[in-house]
Formats: sequence, structure tokens, C-alpha cells
Amino acid sequence: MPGEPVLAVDDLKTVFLTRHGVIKAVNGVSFAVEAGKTLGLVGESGCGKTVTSLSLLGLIEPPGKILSGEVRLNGYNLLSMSQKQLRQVRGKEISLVLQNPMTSLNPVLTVGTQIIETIISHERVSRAEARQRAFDLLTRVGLPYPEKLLKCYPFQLSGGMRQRAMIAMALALHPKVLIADEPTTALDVTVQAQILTELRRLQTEFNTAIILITHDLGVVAEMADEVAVMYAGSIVEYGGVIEVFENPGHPYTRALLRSVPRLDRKCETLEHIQGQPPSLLNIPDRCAFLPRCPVAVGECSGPRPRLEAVASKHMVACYQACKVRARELQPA
Amino acid sequence: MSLLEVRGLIKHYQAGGGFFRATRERVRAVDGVSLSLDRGETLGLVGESGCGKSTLGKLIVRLEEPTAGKIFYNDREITSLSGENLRELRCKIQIIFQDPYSSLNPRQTVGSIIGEPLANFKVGAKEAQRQRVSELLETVGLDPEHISRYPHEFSGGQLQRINIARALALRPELIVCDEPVSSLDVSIRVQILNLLRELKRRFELSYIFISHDLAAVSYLADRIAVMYLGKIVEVLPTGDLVSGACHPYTRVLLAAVPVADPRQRYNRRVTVQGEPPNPASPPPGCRFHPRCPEARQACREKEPVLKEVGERHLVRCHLS
Repeated sequence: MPGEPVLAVDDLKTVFLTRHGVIKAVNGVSFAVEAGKTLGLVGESGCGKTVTSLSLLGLIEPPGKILSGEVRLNGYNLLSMSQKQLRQVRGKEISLVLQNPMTSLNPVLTVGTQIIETIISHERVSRAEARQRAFDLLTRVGLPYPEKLLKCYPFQLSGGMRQRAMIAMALALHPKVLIADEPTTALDVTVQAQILTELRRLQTEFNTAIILITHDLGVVAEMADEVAVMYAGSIVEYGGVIEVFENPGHPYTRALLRSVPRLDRKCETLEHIQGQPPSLLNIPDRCAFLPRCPVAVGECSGPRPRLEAVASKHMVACYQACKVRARELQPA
Repeated sequence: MSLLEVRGLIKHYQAGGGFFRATRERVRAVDGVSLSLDRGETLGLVGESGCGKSTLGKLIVRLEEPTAGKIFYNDREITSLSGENLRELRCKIQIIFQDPYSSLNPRQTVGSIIGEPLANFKVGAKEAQRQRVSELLETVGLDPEHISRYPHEFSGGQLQRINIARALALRPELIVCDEPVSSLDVSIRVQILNLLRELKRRFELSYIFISHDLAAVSYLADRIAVMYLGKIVEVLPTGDLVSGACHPYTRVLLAAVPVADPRQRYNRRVTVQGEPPNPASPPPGCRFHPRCPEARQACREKEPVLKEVGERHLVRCHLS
């Protein structure tokens, strides 16, 4: 049964006001995640995936500004909360795991202290109790010798162990939503496989909704239930993971999928997309992929196409995709 | 005849020393590597971070001095070349690094970056050099008009093209590509991989392609060498990689690569625990045994040797 989404984002717009002009980093993004499900947010660097995640947590600082939108968690709009209220929500209801655990852990505090503090600052528990919970958490994320690890400083751990410790901390208060921003990008593939398995196990255990931000289509295929493909600050395709991977509607998604070298398929020459993503500075209000698009026609230079349903639970922001689908639907 | 041959190459670093520490560790970055590369071949070198693949690359281009072992280029030993002889070798072997930003001088124009090798080796007159730089820019898919721009005016993919142009300037025969696409975006990665392919055909180059990305390596390489903790554990033709890999580590690596097909997600198991051990104190016996799903008693005691198990297929494992 499709449940109520735990987190719903509606028309989020985040800009950065710079000397050179307005950078529309997130340009009207909407999505929702259900409890226990994973939404994969895919895109290349600079497409606005990270700014989206920071906006959800109210972590945008000047010159950045959230222009409009709503982020509903438990019926509250996170964007209209005060900083004090937000502190109650961050970590407790919604938490964040970043790409580089070395920079997101405090280097001068032990791992134990950091997890214990997280627990104590949100719940009325004794230090001993919090310590016990920290111990349990480290065991749960698959770390050996948790007793010893509690006393370690981040620099004493390897990259994979740090990321596990980060995940332990992020899940310490059983948040409803976990945002994982490129959680395995800095790790080796074998360690990546371990961490992804761990994440999935913990997700089932706590029924956490995960927003998984990544540029790696393999990781998305592995983890996500739904996918949102971002390009130049907007979602250009959104739908169930199998639907999007098997019937990609947007030419960008198609090109991305075709440009990944794969081990399970022998292929002589991979096609590549010409050119590069546009600068987000003063982007015109039209299809941002137009200059690189292989199937563009005259009408594509019209106003920016909106996400439209091409199948159930599958939306594409492309004039061509919608037209093709409409033709298919017409009775012969 | 092989273009490049490496025999028993070893590179140990002194590490962890410092003023207050009595004992010093020896990091065995490359610990007895032998391999050969044919003319016109691309050899992929894969392994996890810290396995010594980049060090091996630097040893081959003579950016690092080996602790022991020999390197032959065109049947001539180059291990201890110096002075004018080493300079001459530099025309033949070039390297491209992972990070295109930090490997270009931000205060030099693109023209002077690509032209520097030409000027160093006094290839032709000033005007001819400038001509050649424009030609190189065009070869790598950049606009020759941008010759007087600075690195900060280019994107990551374009900077990597500039790096490639610089490596091509002296018409080398062998290019060591050290993770050339790892820091690039998905859509740009393939552009660069395709460019490297095209250049190889056009200029009859040979590559040593170093990467942690098995899929990218298998796209370019003819043969793949898998490294673990300073040693080569398996060498095999790319075509045999998926179905014919013998070493448990190679199979573990293959299984760990996420496949961009959501229907295959549950076919996968994690077959390895933990992370590679510290290369300063590798485990006794087979170096992979503490993580190996199939380790036996023999693996803990005796170090296996690299032996031939098929055509052009070498494996370092007691079990095969």
C-alpha cells in the first residue's frame, strides 16, 4: 500500500546571489519519499543535488537564499521554522551523511564523545545510557571492537570506518529521513559494497526513508526505489527505478545510461554527450539540455518544459518525450 | 617484442618516522612486480587505493627511483638512466595524472603549458612550435583560439584534454594514464575515454591505464593486471575478465562493482569483509588471505607465486 510520504518537497527554489549574477542552483524541485523507501537523486556535479539536500535542512547560508518552496516533514514546513526549532529536527527527525567523513567529523573529539553528545543533546538520558547506545550503534554498523573505537579520534580510523561511524551517528536518534550525499564516492568498491549493504539493512530495521544523492548510476540501480534525475537545477525525469532505467524518457537520462561503461555488457564504442552542463548563472527559462540534445527540434526552444506524466509514476520534462508517449497512447 | 618490460620491481618508502619515533616503518608500495607491455597494447592496472598502482606508474616513467628491480624499454635498460639519456627517454614515455587542476600551472597560459615540452626540447622554431600547439589543441578537441587562456577558464574535462595535449606534444610512444577520468563527471568521462581511444589509433600509442574503476579499464584495455598490496595477483585478457577471472580478489572486485541495472540488484552478495591491510606490514603467506572467502591453511603459510593458468593468463593463488 502506498503510504503517506514522510518527507515532501514542493517547488523548492534556492539561489546564490553573487557579484556576477543570480545562480539558480535549485530551480523548482519537487519530490517525496515514503518511510522505508529510497529516492535516488542523480546528476552530475553542479546540477544542484547537494544544494537541494542542504536546503532541506535549512543549511543554506548567505549569499545563498531559499526563494520559495515547502519542505513538509510530519506535517510541518521545515522552511518556515526558526533556527531553534530546526535544531530539534536536525539529527532527530532528519539527518545527513556527507561524502567526506573526515571533514564532517570533529577532528579533536573522539568518535564516542561525538555520538554521545548527539544523543544527549536531543534526549533526556544519562551519559552512561548514551554511551551504551553509542556502543550498540557502532556494533550495528558493522564496526569491530566498538569499545576501543569509542575512544578513537577520527584520524585513527580508515575511510570506510569513518563513514560507518558517520552513519552510526546519523542513525543514533532513529531519524525518519536520512540524506546520504555521495556516501560512498570516496571509498573503494569493496568497501562501498559493504556500506551499501549495511545502509539497506539499517533502513529495513529502522524503517528510515533515504534520500541517496549520487552521480553513480550503478549505486542508484542497486539502492533506489525511485529515481529523480537532475540537470542544471531541475528534475528532468522522475519515476520508479525500473521504469526509468528501462524506459528512460528524457534524452539526458538516455545519454547518461548509455555512457556508463559496464562489465556485464560488452560494447565496442560508448556514445558520449557532446559539450558540458551549462553554467547555472543566469540560466534562461527554456530547456537547459537543449544545446546538447540530440533530438531537439524547433519547438524545444520554447519555455522550460515541465514534468509531465508519461506513464504511471513516471514523469519527464521534455517536449519530445511527452509527444512520443502521446502518439503511443493514441488508438490506431 | 615487448615495448616495456618490468622485472622484479620494488619500491619501499620509509614512513611514519619523524623525530620522536624510534622505529620506522617500511611501506612496501610496490613489492616485486614483473610485467610486460607489447607495442600498441593497452594494459589496465586495477586495484584499491593504496595497492601501489600509482607508484608503479611513476616508477615506469622514472619519476620515482626503484629500490630494486629493472625496467626495460625497447630492450634497453632504463632503470638507472640519467642526464641526457633520461631526457631523451622523456620524449618517449609520458604521463597523465588524475587531478587535471593541480597538474597544470595556474599562472601559465594553455599555449605555454602545451608548448613547454616543445621549448624544452627545442623542437622547431618559435613559429613552428606555436603552430604545433594549435594543432595539438585541435587534436584533443579544443578550440585553438583558446591558446592564450588560463587553466581556470576551463572545466575539468577540458583541463584533462589540455593535460593530454601536453603529453602528446613530443610524440611519445607510451603514455601512462594514472586515473585520468576518476575526477570527472559521468558524461565527461566517456568523452575522455573515447578521446584516448581515438588518439591511440591515430598515433599508434601504447597505454598503461591505471584506475580503480574496473568498468572503465575494461573499456580501454587489452589486458588487465590486478594489484593487491604491492603485488600483481592476476593478469588476463580483458575479454576473459568477467567469465574467466580466477583469483578470489579479482572476483571480489568484480562482484563489488554496482551494475546499472536495477533488476540485478539482488543477485549480488558482498563477498569480502574489511579493508586492505597496511602495506607496511603485509600479512604472511598470501597477502589476500585475511579477507579471502576461500582461504586455506596453505594460504596462511606460504606465499603463492604468479603462475600461468591459460593463454596470457597469470594468477598468484594456491587454489588455481
